[in-house]
Amino acid sequence: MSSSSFPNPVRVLRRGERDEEIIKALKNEGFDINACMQCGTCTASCLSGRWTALTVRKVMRKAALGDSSVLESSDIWMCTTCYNCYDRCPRDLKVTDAIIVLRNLASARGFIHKNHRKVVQILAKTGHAVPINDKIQQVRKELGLPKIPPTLAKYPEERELLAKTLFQLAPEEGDEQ
Amino acid sequence: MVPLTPKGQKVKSKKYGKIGIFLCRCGTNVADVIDIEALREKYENEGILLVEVDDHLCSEQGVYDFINKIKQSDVERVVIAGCSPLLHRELFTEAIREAGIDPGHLQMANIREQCSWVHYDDHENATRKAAAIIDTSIAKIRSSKPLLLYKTHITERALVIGGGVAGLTAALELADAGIETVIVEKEGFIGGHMAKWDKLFPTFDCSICILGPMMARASRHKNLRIMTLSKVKEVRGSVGQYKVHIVQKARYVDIETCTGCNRCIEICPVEVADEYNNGIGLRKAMVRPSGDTVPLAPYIDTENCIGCQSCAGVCEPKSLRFDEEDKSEILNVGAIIVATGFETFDASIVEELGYGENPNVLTSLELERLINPTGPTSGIVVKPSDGKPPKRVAFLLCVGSRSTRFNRPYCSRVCCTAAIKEAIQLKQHLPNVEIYIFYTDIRTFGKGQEELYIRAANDFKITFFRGAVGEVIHDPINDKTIIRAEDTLLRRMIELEVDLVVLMVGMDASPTNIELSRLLKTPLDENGFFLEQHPKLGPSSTHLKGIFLAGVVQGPKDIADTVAHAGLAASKVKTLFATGQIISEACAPSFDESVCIGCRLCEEACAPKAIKFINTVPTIDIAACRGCGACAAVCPSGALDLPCLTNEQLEQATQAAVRFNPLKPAIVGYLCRWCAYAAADKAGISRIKYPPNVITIQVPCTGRLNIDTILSAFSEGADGVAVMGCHVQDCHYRSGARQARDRVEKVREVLKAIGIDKRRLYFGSVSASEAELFAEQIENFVNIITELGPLGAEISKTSRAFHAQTTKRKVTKSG
Repeated sequence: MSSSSFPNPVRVLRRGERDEEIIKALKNEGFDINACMQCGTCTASCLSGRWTALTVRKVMRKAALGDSSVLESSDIWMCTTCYNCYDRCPRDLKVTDAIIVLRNLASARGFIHKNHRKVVQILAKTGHAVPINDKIQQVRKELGLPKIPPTLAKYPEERELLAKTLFQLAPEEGDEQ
Repeated sequence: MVPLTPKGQKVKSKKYGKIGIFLCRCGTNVADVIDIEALREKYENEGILLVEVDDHLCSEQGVYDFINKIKQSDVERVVIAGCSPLLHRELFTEAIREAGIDPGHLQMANIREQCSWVHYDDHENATRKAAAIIDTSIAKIRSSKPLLLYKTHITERALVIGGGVAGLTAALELADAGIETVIVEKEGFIGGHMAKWDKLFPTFDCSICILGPMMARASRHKNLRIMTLSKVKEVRGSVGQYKVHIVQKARYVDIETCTGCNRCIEICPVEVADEYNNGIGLRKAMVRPSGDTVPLAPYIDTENCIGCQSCAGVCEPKSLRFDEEDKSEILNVGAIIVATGFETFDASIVEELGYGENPNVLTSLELERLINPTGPTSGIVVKPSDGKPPKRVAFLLCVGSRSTRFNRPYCSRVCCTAAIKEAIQLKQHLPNVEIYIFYTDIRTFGKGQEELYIRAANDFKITFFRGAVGEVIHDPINDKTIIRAEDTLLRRMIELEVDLVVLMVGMDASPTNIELSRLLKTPLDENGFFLEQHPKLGPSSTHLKGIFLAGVVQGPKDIADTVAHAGLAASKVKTLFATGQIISEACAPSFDESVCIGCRLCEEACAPKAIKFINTVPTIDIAACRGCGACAAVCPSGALDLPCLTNEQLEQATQAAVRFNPLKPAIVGYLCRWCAYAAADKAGISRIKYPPNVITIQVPCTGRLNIDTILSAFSEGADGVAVMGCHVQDCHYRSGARQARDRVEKVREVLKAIGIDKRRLYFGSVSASEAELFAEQIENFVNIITELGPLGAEISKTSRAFHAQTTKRKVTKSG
């Protein structure tokens, strides 16, 4: 289709190709993508970005353009939600909230990291992100605590209910790695 | 075409009198939204004597046609439907006078700012609302009275508030033209910020070399009087005749005899942090920040002086005056120029940059003082933590500018070029220093500034990084400063150890603007700077004819723009003074002695004290009257009336605004001309949408509204009435808005008593710049009324109870 002689020409997303769902979701969250001036304060303040490939500014730019590849990449999962960018954004944009919205969208479409999926599965199964294994049970016993704490672990019916509703994940269609 | 009149209906022309209507398309501004042809048809069918349509009525051809068409017809009263009266009323006042009609018989129906620009996506309702606006104007004009013209003498003396480069430029312009001018400066010396700077961008000319001669000339000018350590305390009067109360703090040093030898400063034993140098270094309690000050004489800082009087011991010319007292003075002036400048952004609130904790983080102003040979280090730039020359310096742009986070969404316009200038200066002082400038966008827009930017990179090897700095990390033990940023162009993280960090702080509106705006009755914009009359055509003027703006007080500017702006302000004052008198529309009340009951309520209501009772009859001082109509509003017998907006006119306009409002709920809005009406116009200019249910009536002040008028709106069937004026404390007539608020509260109680929900009457306050607030209030009010339903919806319940009661009483009576 393209007549460009460049090896990887940038494709401008036309109306209809843009992922309006992303733009709408951000708007609902009160994140005005047009107010962003790409100054890079978010990236420069990012704890995670110092060690990982996360470039918050780039994520926001892609989201602003309605580029759905932002949901497929693992970048949005590298955020530690420390809220540094949120605090320092000169345009007062809710950057961290926007990332969480993007994550929600990504999960709804099945873009969930393998390990994250596992954590949810454990949650659904045991009611805890860190299951109570024999060792922990031993420690609890020594401390004079009941074997099973009064959490979801103790109420299997509730756990099943949650497993059916809250812990339901979209199928692994877009799962990467 | 939008149907506006039922078919076959024809109204006789007699009903209207000899009225002409001019419908202006305003290019496409009105015509794109409002169906002008439908309006033309409506008014022709209704038998209006003259209905004309024009593309641009304000153009030369338009005005020419306007005059000729009126002359050729028998028209006696004219309605122009188009833009806001705040924009072109003066133009058409002159035009209609030329056409032989008194301007009192002109009404402007605002179908642009308050209709087509607001309801731009709703053609049908916009057209119907426009018809209602025009109908209301017709009703208002039907019994209009000719205007009284009143000549006032101008005091040919000008007051300039602020002695920085803006104030000095304006004052010298005026003084050179032979106009007596007074500069009021709050500091001890004139010169403002510019006196603190060494070199100026983009030409690197020496600041004091150009400001110094100006200050010297100002201090010797025979038409110029400089009052330092002075403040404006109160302003009364209006254009041509202001009375300004000024308080001058005692200097304790005689300016006339002091030789500026500085011996008193040397001997003074008190040392405090020097705010002139932004806290770098120390100063004495005898204050004179540099050798170039005007006036020469220092002043005593009474807060820190210990009263040892050693200064008096060394003073050869015996210039010390310990018995001097604070002086208070009333100045009569004809015009006021506000040139109070700015303050810099307080960078210490940007926590992550560490300003105030990390000694090596400076503001641009502090660096400016370090570079300046007259500064605290005599021009040697050092790293404050160890006193050694810095090897690596980073400049951070947009600190306190373009920041919604700190409520400073505007660009300060000078920091980019100032950073480049300071970087080059630093490189000239220390050739081996490495300089990095972190920017979001470089805005070197002025003449010669882009060239300077290129030179900085080419000749001075200054490195530019596109990316804002996220944080400045400070390690006080090892004396290390590290900055973190992203090079957004290469998408690379930067972690750089530097010796100095320079924050290019933006320009803040001076906090004193708030008080000054209240004293001068001139509104501020949303960022706290003074609001200009028009952003393009009247940048130096305000909504008040005698008050002008010079320099940064209107918004951030560099020195070149400030001087141009100040020159314009001075020129405007000269134009005002050139005629020697002001012909203004007097709107003094008319008085009918036969019905006056001598209750003296009018005397009490009159804020400028223009009404005085002599032998049980009020006398009106036209010169003092400001035409607000508060007296007519309180007059219980109708003896006082306002000729430019009579009780009859108000009532007819009110009835029309309800009767012709095609929308439900039908709401009447009374807007004060200074604030609410201007805010409504601004909402239109900014294309802020709000519901079209409100038909507005402009009043000189909300205090003009009497109880009868408000009640007549309800008796006509209005579903809601909104009275909107200035913020009560900012009323242009001092007490008008407060009186209106109290009156509205009373009427609400009356409404409640007769079973009408009191939420149907609303009192709102907005300033001229608060367009969004205006739209928000209108929207909320319309929502409330929509919820309440049509007028009377709530009565059925109460009235049933009432009827039950009366019937019972009847029964008992008959029984």
